[in-house]
Amino acid sequence: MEGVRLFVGGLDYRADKRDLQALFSAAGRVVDVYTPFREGEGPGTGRKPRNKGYAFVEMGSMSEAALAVDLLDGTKGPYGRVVSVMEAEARRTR
Amino acid sequence: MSGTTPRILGAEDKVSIVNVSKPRHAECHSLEESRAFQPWEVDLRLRMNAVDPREHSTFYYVRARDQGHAWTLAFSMFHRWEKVEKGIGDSMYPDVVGAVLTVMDEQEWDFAWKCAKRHLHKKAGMDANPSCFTIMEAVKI
Repeated sequence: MEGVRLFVGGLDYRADKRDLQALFSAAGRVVDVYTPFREGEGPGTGRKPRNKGYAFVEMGSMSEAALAVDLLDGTKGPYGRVVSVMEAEARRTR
Repeated sequence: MSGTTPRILGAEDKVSIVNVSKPRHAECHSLEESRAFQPWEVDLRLRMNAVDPREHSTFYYVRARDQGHAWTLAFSMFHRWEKVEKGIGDSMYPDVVGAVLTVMDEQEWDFAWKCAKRHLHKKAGMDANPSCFTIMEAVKI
């Protein structure tokens, strides 16, 4: 079964995959975490990675995703920044 | 429910567990429905201020994979509903000083949810079958 993808906004730029995994595991099974890095940073560049201020977290089921939104939206996330959590929109095809 | 001797998780956890039965879905990792989680009644013990030494109870009903998860979920939702949403997120009181976790069966869970809906309540998760709920009044189901 495919997971349910959530958008996480307002993320501190230092937050990484592990921070989000730990945060969202309170709501259930975390299938995948995607944190886009800023250009020229991240693995292989020799520069300290910083994310773009948002991330996508895939939860195991609809109920876990709904709980994650209710539990985490508008609360303090990694490094004390308030994060917004909502269901991600499907990618638009061009 | 099967009755067993209360078990203390650890002094630092301040959590005691009573009536622990083996979760029926312990091996279930593909959770299509929240019903795959074991229902728990979490009795959070609160201290309301620095002067009054009495502990007050507030009951949270959660579906969780184990007792640690149940405690985390109940505590997080308590913080959100009773402190952050009331604008007292940074204040120390009411302070959770402990918790008693009790395993529920599906009938008890359904009954609790039915009762909660009749009162002023909060819920998290899906509307039809929430993952966590509580009654915002002093009601013991």
